[in-house]
Amino acid sequence: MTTPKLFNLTAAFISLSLFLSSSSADGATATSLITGTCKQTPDFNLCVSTLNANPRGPKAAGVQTLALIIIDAVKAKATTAYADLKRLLKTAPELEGPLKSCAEQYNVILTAEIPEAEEAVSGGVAKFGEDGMRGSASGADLCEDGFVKVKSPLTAENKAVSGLAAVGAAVIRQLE
Amino acid sequence: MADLRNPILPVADPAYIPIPDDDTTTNLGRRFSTRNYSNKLLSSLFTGLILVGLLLAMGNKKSTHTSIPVEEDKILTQPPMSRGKPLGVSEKSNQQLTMRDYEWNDMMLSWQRTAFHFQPKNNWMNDPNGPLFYKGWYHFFYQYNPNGAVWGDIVWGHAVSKDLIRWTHLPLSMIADQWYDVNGVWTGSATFLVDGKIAMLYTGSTNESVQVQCLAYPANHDDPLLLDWVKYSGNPVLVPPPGIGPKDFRDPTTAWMTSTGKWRFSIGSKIHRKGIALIYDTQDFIHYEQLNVTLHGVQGTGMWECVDFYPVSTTHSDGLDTSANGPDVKHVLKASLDDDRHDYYALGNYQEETGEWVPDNPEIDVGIGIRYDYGVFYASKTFYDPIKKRRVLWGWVGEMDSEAADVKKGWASLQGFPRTVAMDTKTGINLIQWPVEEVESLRLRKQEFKDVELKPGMVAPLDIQFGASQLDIVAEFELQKEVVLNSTTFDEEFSCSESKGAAHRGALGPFGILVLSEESLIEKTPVYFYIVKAKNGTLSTFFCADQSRSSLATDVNKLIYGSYVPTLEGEKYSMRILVDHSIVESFAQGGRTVITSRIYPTKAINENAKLFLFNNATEAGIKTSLQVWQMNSANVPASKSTKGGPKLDIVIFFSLLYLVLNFDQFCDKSLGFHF
Repeated sequence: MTTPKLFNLTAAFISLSLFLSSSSADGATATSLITGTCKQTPDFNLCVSTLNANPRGPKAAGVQTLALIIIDAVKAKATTAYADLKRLLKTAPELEGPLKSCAEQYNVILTAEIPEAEEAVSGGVAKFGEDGMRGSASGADLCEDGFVKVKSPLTAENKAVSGLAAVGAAVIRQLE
Repeated sequence: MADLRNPILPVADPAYIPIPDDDTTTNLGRRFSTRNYSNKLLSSLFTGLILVGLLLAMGNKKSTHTSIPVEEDKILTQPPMSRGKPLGVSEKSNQQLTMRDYEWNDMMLSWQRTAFHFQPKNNWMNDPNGPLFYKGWYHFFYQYNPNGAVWGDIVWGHAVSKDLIRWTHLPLSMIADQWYDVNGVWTGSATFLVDGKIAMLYTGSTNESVQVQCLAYPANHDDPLLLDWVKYSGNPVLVPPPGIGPKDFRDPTTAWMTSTGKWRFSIGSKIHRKGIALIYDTQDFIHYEQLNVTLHGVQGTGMWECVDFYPVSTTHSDGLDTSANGPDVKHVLKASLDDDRHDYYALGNYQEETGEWVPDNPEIDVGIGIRYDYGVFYASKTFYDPIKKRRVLWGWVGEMDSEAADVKKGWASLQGFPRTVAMDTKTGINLIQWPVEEVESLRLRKQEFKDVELKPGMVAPLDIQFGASQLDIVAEFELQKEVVLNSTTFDEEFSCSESKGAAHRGALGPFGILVLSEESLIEKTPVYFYIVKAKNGTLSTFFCADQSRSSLATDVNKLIYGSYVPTLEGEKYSMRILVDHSIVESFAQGGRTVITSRIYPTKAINENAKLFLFNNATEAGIKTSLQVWQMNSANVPASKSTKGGPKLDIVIFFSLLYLVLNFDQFCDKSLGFHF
């Protein structure tokens, strides 16, 4: 003996529940791949947030896609870092020494190590991808270490690249 | 953490006495002063010194020393430096996890290039490909990146040699110009067909990154240099079969002839975590049937790359053609494990009827047992040399420094010095590897040290009269017998990689040689034996190479490599070491265990690289005899005058005499040097 209003409400409630549960079921499948993969990296939260931020992340069918997403994210961070340091070379001439070393490092990261990682992971020879990511992490670390007596103006950028590249290496490791 | 009871060796120590020698010629130049003497007096003095020097040089072919004053109580106990912050990545990863760069300068970097190991002029190299001997030339192909010093854009490099040592680089033999290999012209092997023609099978990475097998052959079989290659128009000839992943199908082997008249070869792969070797039969290298069994597989080993499969004689040490078989033949199955970047092999029996290979000892099966090399050595491949009847092993020796340093120096990777491989007929359970005999053509001067005794805790500098960056060292060691018999330190658990390197003192070891070492030992690379005694008196020998103090740089590999090595009753402990700048190859007990190391000193380079003997055992003294050869560069054409030594010396002597006697004229003409 339901009134039309109550019927509508119930129908609405049931459809809403079905809708919510179905979308979270898809999310649960993708998330479990991301969760399982990210658990085996040194920074679970960074890994998960980076992968979820990319529309391809939650839909990824395998670890190779996740690895390529991380490599892309490293490239973005490194590109930003490089742009920042080029700007600083003009505005902070007193830091020329360490900034030039940083430029050398980021040049290697952007022109050699990231392309190496992309080609290797796409091609299924993961170990060279790992080399590329580890090299990128250490390049960012070296840039940071170059600021010996002064505070580094690139700490945030360097930590972003280093942390994410370390995650990338760990994700790629799971492809071997 | 430094152990304060045992401080680092001082740089200048009054007790430090270098080994005396007869040859003082090296000091003459430095002692020459530029005070203001008359030209005539000066020229006769100069003549006299030159004459003395030349006479000594001619007369002194080798120095023999029976006693060497040594430093008392100099103990090597610096612990290895920390290995860097762990990143939570699996411990199986071979390299340093955080490799911080160092300020590499041009001198340090240019020193790293080798004098007699295969490497292209620049850029990145990895796996050896299709090595073969054809119409008088040894051919070597290799994975190469023409665009940079890291892996990528892979094509086939090519070089030829008459002696496996002096190489002429040729144009690339194959580039990535087809849809089926546009993403990489990857590893492959050569097979000689019945009519002597060559079929080269290789892996292509397609435009969709699928791994497929492709056939190539020389464009002109009359060309001994095999400059041009043709890719079969119907490529690819093989694609990943059902059940095999599209990226788990690469590196076809040389084929062997079966009794049905078909060719058979193998390709490594994996099914889940089981590494396997697939097998295919073919009559024309165009049509293939996959056998429904694998040649072999081992659970838990992961992807098998660069599979190699070949026969060895159980009775003699000559090589065998890849198709050989018979009652006195065993087969070696080898795989490069993608997971840990090591090459493993096992001996066993090939059962042609079933198509399977069975290991002699499943406990040391492929991937879980013996390695060719306990250092840096991967993707190796053998070929049969029909001229010298030997099987020769090539292996990729990667860099152990940072990629940034590789980009800076403009190159990366070497090939190991080619080695013969054969069954160890004395043990029957392992192979013997030894540098090809042509290595001896590189030997120049020799110094010999006989019966040197070192008490526990001693280091003895070896006064080498030539540079210590290019050496061939052959050394034998004995422990004091009574000490060994009476020692009560038993059953120690030991592994090179988990020890403290040469600072790890035991009753009966470590003892050996320090290569690429700086005078004060602030940088040193120990290559050594460590003997462990069991309660029942039997001795176990371990052979290690310690990179932990090899360089002050923080971005190079600092691991300690090595393994147990079988030593038979009555054998002395013997090692051979090839030092060639940034590569050191160490062979124990005639090649039963081999360790390849990459060393990147910042100080122990050029004239500052030195050689030492050491005994860091706590109980036993050692006695050693060694020969040290100066090694020539392979880039210098092999000249006959290096063998006609005395004749050349006489020519130099008279030329200089002429010059000196006419010194006045030269000075009067003001050629620019004045005294």
